[in-house]
Amino acid sequence: MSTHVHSSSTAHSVAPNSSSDEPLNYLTNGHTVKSWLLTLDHKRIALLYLAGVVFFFLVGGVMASVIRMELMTPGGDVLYSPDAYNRVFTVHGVVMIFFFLVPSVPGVLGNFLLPLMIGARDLAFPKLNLLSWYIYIFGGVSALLIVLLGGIDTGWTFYAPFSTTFSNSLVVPAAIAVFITGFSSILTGLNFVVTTHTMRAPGMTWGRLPLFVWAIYATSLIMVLGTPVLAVAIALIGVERAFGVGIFDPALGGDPILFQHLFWFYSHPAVYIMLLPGMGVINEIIPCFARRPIFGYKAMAGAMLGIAVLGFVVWGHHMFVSGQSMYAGLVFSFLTFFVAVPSGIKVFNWTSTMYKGSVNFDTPMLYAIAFIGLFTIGGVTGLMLASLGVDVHLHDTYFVVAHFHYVMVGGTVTAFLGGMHFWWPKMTGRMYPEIWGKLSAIVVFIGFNLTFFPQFLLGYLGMPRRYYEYPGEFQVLNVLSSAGASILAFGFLMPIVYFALSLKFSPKAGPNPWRATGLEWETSSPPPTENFASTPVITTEPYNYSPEDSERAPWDPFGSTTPEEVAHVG
Amino acid sequence: MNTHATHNSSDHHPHVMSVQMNLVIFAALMVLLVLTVVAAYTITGGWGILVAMVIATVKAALILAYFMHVRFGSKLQLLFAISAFFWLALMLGITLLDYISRGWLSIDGK
Amino acid sequence: MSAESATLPVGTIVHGHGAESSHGSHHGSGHGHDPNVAHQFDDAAQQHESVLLGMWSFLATEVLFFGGLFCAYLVYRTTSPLAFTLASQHLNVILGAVNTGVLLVSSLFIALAVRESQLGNGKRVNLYLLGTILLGAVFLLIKGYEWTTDYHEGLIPFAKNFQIPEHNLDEMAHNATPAGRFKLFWVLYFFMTGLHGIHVIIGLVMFGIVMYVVKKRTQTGKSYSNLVEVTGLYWHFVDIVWVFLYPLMYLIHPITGGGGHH
Ligand SMILES: [Cu+2]
Repeated sequence: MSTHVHSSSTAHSVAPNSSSDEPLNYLTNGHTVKSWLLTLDHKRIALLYLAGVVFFFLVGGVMASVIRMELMTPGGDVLYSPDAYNRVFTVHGVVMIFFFLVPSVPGVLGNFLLPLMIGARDLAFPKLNLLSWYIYIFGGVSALLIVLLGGIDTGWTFYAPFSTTFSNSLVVPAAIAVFITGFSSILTGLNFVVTTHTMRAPGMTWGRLPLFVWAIYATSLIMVLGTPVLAVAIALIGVERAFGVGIFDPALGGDPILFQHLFWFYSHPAVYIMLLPGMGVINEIIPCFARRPIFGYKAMAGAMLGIAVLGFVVWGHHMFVSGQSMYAGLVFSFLTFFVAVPSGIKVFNWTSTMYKGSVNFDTPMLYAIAFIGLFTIGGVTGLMLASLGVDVHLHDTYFVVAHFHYVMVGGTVTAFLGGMHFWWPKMTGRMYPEIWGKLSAIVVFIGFNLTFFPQFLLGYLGMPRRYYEYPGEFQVLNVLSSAGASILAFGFLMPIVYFALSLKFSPKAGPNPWRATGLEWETSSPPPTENFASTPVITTEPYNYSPEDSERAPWDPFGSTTPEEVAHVG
Repeated sequence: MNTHATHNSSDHHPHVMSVQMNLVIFAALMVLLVLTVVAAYTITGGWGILVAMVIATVKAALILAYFMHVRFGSKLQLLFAISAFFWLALMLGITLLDYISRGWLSIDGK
Repeated sequence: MSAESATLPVGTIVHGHGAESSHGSHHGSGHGHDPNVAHQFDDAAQQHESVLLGMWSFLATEVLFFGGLFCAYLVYRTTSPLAFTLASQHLNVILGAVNTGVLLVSSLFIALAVRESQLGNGKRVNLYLLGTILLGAVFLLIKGYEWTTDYHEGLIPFAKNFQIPEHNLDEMAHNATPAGRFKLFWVLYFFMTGLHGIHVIIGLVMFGIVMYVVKKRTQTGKSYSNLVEVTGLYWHFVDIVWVFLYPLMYLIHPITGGGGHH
C-alpha cells in the first residue's frame, strides 16, 4: 500500500492536478485541426499513428473476412475469379504487415512512451517524427488507391519472376508505395535509436531502462539496418518490370533466388520488428500485475538484442525448397534453432515473474497471458518449420499460415491490445470498462484459436496456401476457421467501441491507476505537453514491485511456499 | 550519452583537425588511388580483386577515421560505423555462402 | 536487484535542483537559455551528440541500401566473372580515376569546411562549400560524358540500342557464360552509379542551402557548425561509396588505354 501512497503523491508534486483550475495537458493544449496535423509533440503524433493503424487494421480485416468467406466452401463462389482472390489476400498481407503490424506498437506506444519512460521532453527529432507519420500515411493512401485501381496479385512477398514478368497487376505502383513507406520506418527507427542514446534523464542508466525501451531500441536497430535492403529489392523489382533487363529472370541470365535473399534479409528480421515491441509491452504488464520485479532483467534485455541480431542470419529458412544450396539450408536451419534460445529465455522469465507473485487478472494481464501462450505455440511451430525435412512437407501450406498468424496476431496484436488497455488511462486520462475489457480478451483468445488452430491441421493434411478452391474433405476445418474468424472480428471490434465510449463515460484515471513503477506513471494522466514539470532524476532500479503490497495472496500453484518465504520474495 | 550523469569527451570541445593533418590524409588517399590503378594493371588473376578491395577499405577507413572524425568522436560513432559494415558483411557473406556451395552435394537441383 | 531495492521508496524522483528548475514552464519553451538549442534538448552538447548520431544512423541505413546492390553485384560477378571482365573493359579507367580524384579533393574541402566552421570562419566555410559544389558538378559532367559515350556504344541496357559487341558474345559463348550476365553488369553499373549520382546531386543542393544558412547565421551570430558537420558526414559517405565503386566497376582486368572502342 505504501507504493500507492508514495507514487501518487510524487506524481502530484510533479504535475499538480487540482481540479479547480485544470492545467493544460497535451490533449487540451490546442484544439484546432492544425494543432494536431502540424504537431511536434510525440504524444499527439502517437495518437495520429493510432488513427492510422486502426484504419489500416480495419481495411486489412475486411480483406481477411472476404478470404474466410470465400474459403467456407470448397468451390469459388464469393469472389468471381481466382485472380480476384489473389488480389484480396495480397492486399490483406501488404496492408496488415506494412501499414498495421510494423508501425502499430512502435508508432503508437513507442512514440507515446519512449520519451516519458526515459524522462525526456520529446524524441530527439520531433520534426522527423511528424515526417515519418506523413510518409506512412502517404504510402498507405497510395496503396489503397492502387487497390481501387486494380490492385496487385503477387502476395506481399513480391516474388520474382511472377511479379516481374507474369503478373498483370499494378506491381510497379505498389512497389513504389512500399518503398516510400519503408522510409517512414527507417526514420522512426533512427529517431528512437538516437533518443535512447542521448535523451535519457540523469540517473536513467542502461541498466535502469524499462524493458519496453530495450525492446523499442532493438526494434529500431532492425528498422535502420534491415529496411533499406527491402527498399533496394523492391526497387530492383520495379526496374526489372519496367525495363525487362533480366535482373531476376533466368531466361535473361538473372537469378530469382537473389530476390528471395534480398527480400528475406529484411523480411525475416521484420518479423521481429513486429514482435519485439510486443514483447516489450508484455515485459511491462507482467511485473505490474504479478507485483513482482521482472525475473532476470539483464537476460531479458540481452535476449531482445540477441533476437534482433540473430534474426538477421536466419533468413534462408524461407528458401529451403527453392534452389538454395543444401549447405546454406543446413546453416540456416541450425541458426534458426538458435533463435529459440533467447525466445525461450523470455517465455521462462515471464512465467517465473508470475510465479509466487500476487497475480491480478485485469485486462492487460489477460492479454499478456494470452500472448505468452499463443507466442509459444507460434514459436514452437516455427521450429518445426525450421527443420529441413519437415519443411519440405509443410512449406507453402496452411501450417505456415497458422504459424505466422500465431506469432503476428497471437503475439503482436494481443500485445498491442494489452498495451493499449494498460496505457489507455495514461494516454487519455480515462479508465476503460474493466468488465468489457476482460470479455474482449476472452473473446479474442477463443476466436483466435478457433480461427488458426484448424489451419495447422489443414496445412499438415496438405492444404496449400493462396488457393481459393480446395477439395471437399478440407471443408469442416475451413468452416471452423471461418466461424472463429467471425468471433475474432467481434473481439477486435469491442475495444474500439468501448475505448471510444470511455472518453466520455468512464471515470477519470489518476496518474497511476495500476500502482505501476516507471517514469510514465509519475506524471499526470494525460501528461502535460512537456511531459514532466522538471527533468526527473532517477535513483531507483526498475520494476520495484513486491507481492506484499498487494491485497491478494501470492500466486502459488504448487502450494510450496511457506509464509516466511513469501516475506522474502521481492 | 547522458549529459548529466556521464561526461563525454567529445562534447563541448569538438576536435579540430589541423590543416596539415587534413592534407596528409588527402595525400595518402591520392597515393592509394594511384596504387589501386597500378595494381589493377600489374596484378592479374584472382588476387586482383582482393588487392583492390583491401586498398579501397584502407581508403574508406582513412576517410572514416579522420575526415569523419571517428577517431576523435565518441565511441558510439565508431560503434555505429562498425555495425553498418558488419551487417553488410553478414548479408554479403551469407548470401555468397549459398552461391559458392551450390552443387557441393550430388543432389539434383541443390 | 530485489533485496536492496525493496528498501528504497518506489519511484523516487529527485526534483529539479537549482539550475534545472527553469525547465518547468508550461509549453516546453521555458529553457530558452540558448537560442541555438532546440527545445527538446537540455544543452548544446546533447544536441550536438544527437544530430551526429542521427546522421550516423542514417549513414548506416545508406550502407545497407547500397549494400543490397553490392550483394547483387557480388553474386553475379562471382558466378560469371568472365562476363563482368569483358563488360568492365568498355569503361574508361582514366576518367574513372580522375573522378575519384575529384571526389577526394571535394572530401578534403569538406573536411576543411568543417574545421573552419568549428573555428567560426563563416566566409571560409562558404568558400570551401562553393569549391565542393563546383567539384561535384565536375564529377557529374564527367559522369555525364561517360554515360553519353556508353549510349553511343550501345551499352545502356535501358535503351533500345543496347547490343552486346560481337567479339564479347563470341568469347562468352566459347566459355559457356550466359550473355545475359554481360547485360547485368551494365544494369548494375547504371543502377549503382546512377544512385550514387543522385546522392551527389542531393549533396550539392544541400550544400547550396547550407551556404545560405551559414551566410545568414554569420550575420545574426547563431551557430552553424552542427549543420556543416552533419552534411559533411553525408558527403564523405558519398565519397566512400565511390571509393568502392571505382575498382569494382572500372578495374576488373582493365585494358591499357581505357575504353574498348570498336
Ligand atoms: Cu523467417
